[in-house]
Amino acid sequence: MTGAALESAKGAGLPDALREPWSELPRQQEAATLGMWLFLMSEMLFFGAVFMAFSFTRALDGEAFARAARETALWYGASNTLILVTSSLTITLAIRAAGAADNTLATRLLAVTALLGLAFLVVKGFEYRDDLDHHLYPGADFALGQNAALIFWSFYWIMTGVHAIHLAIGIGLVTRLAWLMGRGRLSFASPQLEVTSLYWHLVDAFWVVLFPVLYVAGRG
Amino acid sequence: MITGFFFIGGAAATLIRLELFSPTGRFLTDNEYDLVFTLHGVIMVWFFLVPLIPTTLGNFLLPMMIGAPDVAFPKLNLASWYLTLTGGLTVLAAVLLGGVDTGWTFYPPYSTTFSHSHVALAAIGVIIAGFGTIATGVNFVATTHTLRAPGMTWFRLPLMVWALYATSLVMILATPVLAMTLLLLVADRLFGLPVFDGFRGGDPLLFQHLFWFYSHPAVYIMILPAMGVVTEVITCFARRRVFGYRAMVYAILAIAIIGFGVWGHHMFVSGQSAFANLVFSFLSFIVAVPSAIKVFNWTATLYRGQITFEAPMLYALGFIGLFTVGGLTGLFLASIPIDVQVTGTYFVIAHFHYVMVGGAVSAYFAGLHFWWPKITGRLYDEAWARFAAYLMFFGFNFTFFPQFILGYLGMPRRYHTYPPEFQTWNVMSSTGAVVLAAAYLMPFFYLAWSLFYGKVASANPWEATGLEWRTTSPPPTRNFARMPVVTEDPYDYHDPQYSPEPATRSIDRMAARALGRGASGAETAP
Amino acid sequence: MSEAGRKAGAFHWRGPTIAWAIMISALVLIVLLGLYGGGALRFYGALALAAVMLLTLAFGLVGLGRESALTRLVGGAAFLFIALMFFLSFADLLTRLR
Repeated sequence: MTGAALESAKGAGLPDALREPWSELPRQQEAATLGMWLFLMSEMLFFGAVFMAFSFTRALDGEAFARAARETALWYGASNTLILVTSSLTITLAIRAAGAADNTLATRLLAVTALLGLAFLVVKGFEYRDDLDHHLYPGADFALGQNAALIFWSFYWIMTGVHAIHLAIGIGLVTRLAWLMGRGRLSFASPQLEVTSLYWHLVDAFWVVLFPVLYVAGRG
Repeated sequence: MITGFFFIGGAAATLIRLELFSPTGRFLTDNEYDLVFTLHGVIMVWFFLVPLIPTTLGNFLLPMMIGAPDVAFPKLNLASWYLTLTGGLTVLAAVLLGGVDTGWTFYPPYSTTFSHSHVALAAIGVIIAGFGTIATGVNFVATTHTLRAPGMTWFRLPLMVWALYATSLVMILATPVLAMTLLLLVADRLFGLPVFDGFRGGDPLLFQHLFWFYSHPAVYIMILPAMGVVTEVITCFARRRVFGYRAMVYAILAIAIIGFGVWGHHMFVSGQSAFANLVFSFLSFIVAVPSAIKVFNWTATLYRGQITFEAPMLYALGFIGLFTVGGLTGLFLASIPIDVQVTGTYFVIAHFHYVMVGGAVSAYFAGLHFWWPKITGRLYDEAWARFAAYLMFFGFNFTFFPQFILGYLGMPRRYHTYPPEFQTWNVMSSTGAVVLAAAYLMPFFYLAWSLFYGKVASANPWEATGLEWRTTSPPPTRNFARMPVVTEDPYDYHDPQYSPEPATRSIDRMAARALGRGASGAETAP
Repeated sequence: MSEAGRKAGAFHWRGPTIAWAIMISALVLIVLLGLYGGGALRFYGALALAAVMLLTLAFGLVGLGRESALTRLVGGAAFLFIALMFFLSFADLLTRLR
């Protein structure tokens, strides 16, 4: 960001986005983005590990996994994918709007993003209820018997559960941004926008891999 | 905090060696012994060795060595401290509630199905601490990329910085896998999931693959910073530029990267396929090469040096010897026929204590003494420090060398009873442990003493190169009064054409410096 | 330079929207595979479409193409190590004696 833009940002009464130990804003932004990417790298390994475990077990008993996969609710999953992908669009547009100095539009788009995230969780909630009704949870009365099918569903609950927790955190972060921007307390020079959107895209990215793998690929 | 955990882990070690004085159980039952060695492993690995050099020395030194006022994300730094502490307290809670008896490796099916101990709580504590490690890693990498002072190019960085950088990359990439693995383990245990259950379609080896994918790189997290310290100390006390700077950099990166591909050498007898055994054995031999390069280069650095034997140097030289022994025995273990014989025995225990304790902890003490004046502004008593260093080296070998023999003779690990013919070696080992404990305790006393009564240190008492020596001891809040500008290569102890001048730290040398010849830059006023 | 570091200018919405459209098309194909596909086509097709969606997300919405080489390296490095994890673990699994 140029000095002129920073000056005008300050002149507009927006808070000084510069923090310790930085002396220049572009450096701070560069570091914030790099820091978030490094964190994303760790998150990719986190989910990569469970995908590896899933694939490993599938290779042990593909038939049981196929039986289990056929019980997944394709339409719930597809709807959720639509919702989440759209939310990635809205958050990207929010950043673009902020960059175009249209803070009102940016605030609205951030709010929509958070709402879409909530919608995802609601749909997921309904899906979980259905899964529970069909006895598709770990326990003695698991619907498909005490075998690798149960492992598939264990992974289902763990992967979607961990994803949902990440999403909930993301909703909190985006809501906070929407609130700050709505109050005029967030400068578009602040690295927070970029960093939060990266996190949100990561959560979307996991789902984009998770949905085809869990709901479609393994149906046999 | 690290010191506190060291005491806890050390107390467990003391119990172990006391118990092993006699071939039959002395004062611990079988299960109690399991609790003790698990405690020793969990605390020492995750709450002592992994954070040891990065959090104590690294946090302080990394910004200074690159000429920065602080790390990139100071609040994240604080968060990582709280996360490690929270994780540690959670593990201690598990200990106080009755402990864990699975061994620090948490192998299923014992940990998921049969153990009655507090596995889940301890595992959760480790997961929490793992997030602290990742935070540190992110911080250090971002700092190194974005906060270097003008003129501090990548290939002018001290090797300590490169070592911390590579360590941080490993932290970021490996630790999340541990988090997920332990999460799956806890889920298996708490909800009866069959992920690692061989009878219900799962595979216990899957746990081992995932666990060691982290835990092998974890040992490189422990050793790489130690290697960084050793380079800093050896160059200073030999008054030499490091031999083969670029090779050292590439070796550090090679260790970090190749280290991710060797984990199966912990699983040679687990039921892993013969083909996988072959691949992992091969890669394990390969990973030894960059480590060996570093040892050769340190040795070459010493050649024609003007060597003096201050305490940091003694520890660093000890590192080279002990790490070499540990590393070579690692090669023995990488060889499958040998490993089949000695795996699960005291040979393995001796191997990793040589590299982790003889290596990483020695290097830590080297660094602690080397940078003590910088951190505290005081000089410690050199005579006591040298005595402690010699004592540590002696005590360490007396403790752990007999364990190589014991392992070779067939004494299994994690057992507190053994055939009577092993007793001599065990007594030797336990006696050595007493000496070693004394050597570890001594620094507490003379270092604490120095805080109150030690001589006040100048900015650069060792006449070392490196930006951290250009600021006051201790440094001001933002590390430097004026941001330094870097114009020379690291370890600029002498002109590349010539051998170094002797470091007599006498009037003559100071005069020589004042006349414009010699190593270190001018001291800045506070 | 990061998104937020740009000078105030026009509102560029076309690029992300096209990326979104591509992703939704891929989603439709995945659903069709789930409903009507079978066997290897469904398996590899779903994984391939997942890769398409992921890359579109990375380059179309996250803007990885406009970031520095370092950022791309960091983003890609994780996959390298995940691949290593897969490869060596499966090297064990697939070569075990029955």
